[in-house]
Parts: sequence; structure tokens; C-alpha cells
Amino acid sequence: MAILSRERAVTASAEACEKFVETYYQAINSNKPVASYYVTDNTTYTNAGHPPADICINGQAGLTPKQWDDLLETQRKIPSASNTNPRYHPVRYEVESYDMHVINPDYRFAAPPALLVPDTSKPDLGAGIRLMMMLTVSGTVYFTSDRDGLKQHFNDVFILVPNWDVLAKHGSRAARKLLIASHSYRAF
Amino acid sequence: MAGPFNSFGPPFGATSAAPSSNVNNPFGAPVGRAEDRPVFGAPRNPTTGPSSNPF
Amino acid sequence: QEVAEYQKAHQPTPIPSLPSNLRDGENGVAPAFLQAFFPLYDTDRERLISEFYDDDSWFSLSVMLGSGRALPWKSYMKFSRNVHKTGSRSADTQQRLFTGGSLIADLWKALPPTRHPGMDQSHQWLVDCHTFPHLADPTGQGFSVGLIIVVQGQFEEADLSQNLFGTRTFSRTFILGPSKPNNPPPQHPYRVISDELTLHKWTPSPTQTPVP
Repeated sequence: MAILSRERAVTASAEACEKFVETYYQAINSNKPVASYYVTDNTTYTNAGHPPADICINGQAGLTPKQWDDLLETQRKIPSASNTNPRYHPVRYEVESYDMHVINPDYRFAAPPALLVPDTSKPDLGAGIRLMMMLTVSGTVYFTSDRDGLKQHFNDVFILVPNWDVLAKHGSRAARKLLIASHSYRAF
Repeated sequence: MAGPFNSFGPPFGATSAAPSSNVNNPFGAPVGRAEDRPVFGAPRNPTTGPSSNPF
Repeated sequence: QEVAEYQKAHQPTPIPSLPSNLRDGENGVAPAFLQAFFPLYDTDRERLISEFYDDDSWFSLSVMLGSGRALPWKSYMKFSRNVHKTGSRSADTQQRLFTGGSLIADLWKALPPTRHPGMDQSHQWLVDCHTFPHLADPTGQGFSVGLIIVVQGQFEEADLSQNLFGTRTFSRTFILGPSKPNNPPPQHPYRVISDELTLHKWTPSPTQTPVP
């Protein structure tokens, strides 16, 4: 088996996480659901017996991706509005820092055979993408349009695994190359 | 400052799903379900929800 | 008072915060590891490395700049691997990632001395952790279970080179996995695979007050 060079793994992880951070927080900031970013809703992973994503939000564990979407929606809701006519206020997550480590450079769970390639005469198509990573993201949550208004720091930690469905498609340009297997969120 | 880096060192082995007897777990079996939120430190009481004292 | 009440009724409400959430398996590794880790980080970083790190451990730190009451960052900036600032293809992204105990020890020697609160001050700490599957096993056979520990807290710092003293807010995330079979003593059944430290601008109270 070819050994993935450290340099290549570091570059690949940084590029993949850069794209992930961009699209994930853009989705949240445009009030779009993010449930599909998690392994929970991915049949390739669930059919192979992967447990649901571990989601722990401000110390509350055992949440489903849908419940995280609901928490975000509740957070946007203006308390004085009625339930029949809910009103929302934009809540903006502004990323100020992120960093990532490869924690398994040869992740194989539920990988399609084409990306495993034990045949050394062929290039290993999976090298550099079979990565399990830990990503930490920090920044500020703004609850009002006034930057000096209500705000919090946030710290998100993700364990990310390859999205085989996207990676197996040749020349796929889809941004969603990673899935979230674990998400720990704290805002303070 | 960074100096020369190591490669990953010895190659990592296959990590595909393996029989459960082949799973290396130094942390012990999971304690309770997620909603039980085992509490650490003394007293340890798995029924009281999240722990205000992690130690 | 009225203004505050009005604002509260017309502003979004932050997600409620609960205390620490530990789901680290029946061996209770997370509290044991943290109780060993932070006192040693404050007093003997070299020994800490020899206890828990090996040639394949990764460490990096990143600084979240911003306004607010923060100590100057000079002692950290040249090591800060904030990919949001450096960019994924920057040489810094490679060079500011420290692999292996000896390089990490060299870096830690260059960082200012710290003092973390005692573990008895539980209100100063927030710890969320859980085990997870599918790390590579160090024996090369099968896979292994990992433990992710996310810590939020504060530490005091005495930066003698800059003559600066103060408090910083930090987040620190560890990935622990099984030890390698031939680890030299002192042998722990687990090792640090990954250690990421994020330094925030100081906030008065990052942690949850204890629930009565």
C-alpha cells in the first residue's frame, strides 16, 4: 500500500475543509437546512452500519441533524412574535479562525471498491481523499445587525469523513465532498 | 522553526469494518444512551443529566 | 430596564447552554486524562509529551484575532495555523502543523508559561466528549475506537519575554486513540493523535455557571 505523504494529506485536508467551511456556514447564514451535511441521512453510511452523527449542541447530546436545524430556526425566531405568525431575525455566524488535522489518513469505512484500489500498478484514486479529519472553527455569532449588539463567540468541532457518493462520481465538482460524523458546538 | 517533518510513519492498516473482536477500544464500552449523559467525578450519577462538574 | 426587556422580546434568543457532557466510556478516560494533562502543561511540558505523545501526534494552535480586551498575541502569531487567514495552500499551513513529540516539545518551550485553574473549580471548565468509531488501529489490523474531548476554559499567562501578564480564553480539542503496542513506559492504553488549541480574545465568562 502506498503511504500517503504528509504534505499531500495536509494540503488535501486544508482544501477540503476550506470548501466545507465556506458552504456550511453560508447555508446556515442563508437559513438553509444543513441536515444533509451529516452522515445520519446518508444511505451509503447507514446501510454499512455507521451510527448516526454524534451531535452535541451546548452540552445537549443525542440530537438529530433535523433537531439542530430546528434549534437554529428557534434561535432566529423573535420571541415577541406569535406562533401562528412567527417572525425571524437574521443570525449570522462569522468565521474568524479554523484549523484541521487528519486523524486517519486511510479511512475505509463504507468506501466503494473503486476508491480502495489494492492494485499497485494503478494510481490509487482514493489516496488523499480517504481522509478522516478533525476540524475546529471559531468565530462570532451576531444576533442583531448592530455589530455591537448581542453576540457570542462560537466554537464548532467536527469529525469529517469522505462523502463516497460524491467522490465516486468521476470529475464530480460537487462541493459536498465531506460528511459530518461528529459535531460539538459551544457558544459563549 | 518547523524543521523537517516526519511522514506518517508506518503505514496505517486496513480500517474497513472489521469483526467486533478486532476493535481496539481502550475507553471501555459506551456508558448509557446519549440522553442519559453519564456524569463524571464524584458523585457519579447517570440520571441527573449533564454534569456541572466534569472532574 | 424597559429598554432591555423590549430588546429581549425583539431579538433572537441564543441556544441555551448546558453544563459539560461526558460520554467517554466506562473507563472514565476523559477526566483522568485532563487531570493529568493541564497540571503538567503548566509545570512540565516535556514530561507531558513523553507521557501521551508519540512520533505521529499532531499539534497546532490558532489565534482568533478580534477586538475586545485581549493580551497582545506576539508570542503566538508566528505559530498560528489559522487557515482562514493563511489559506489552504500557504506554506504556513504545512509548516505550522507540528508532527511528533519532539517538534511539539520544541514549540511548547517557546510558548509562554501558563496556569490553568484547578480541576476543583468546576465552573471554570466546560468539557464535551464522546467515543467514536473507525480510527486506524496502530497494529495495522482492524479499526479502533477514538475519544474526542473538547475543552473550553481560561488560563493565566506570564509572558516573561514580553513582560505581559493576563488571562486568555481558549478551546482545546484532543483526539485520543489506542497506544501503539511497543510504546516505551510510562505506558498508557491511549495516546494523543491530535491536539488543537484555539486562543480566543478574552471573554469574561466563557463557561457555564454551575446548575444549582
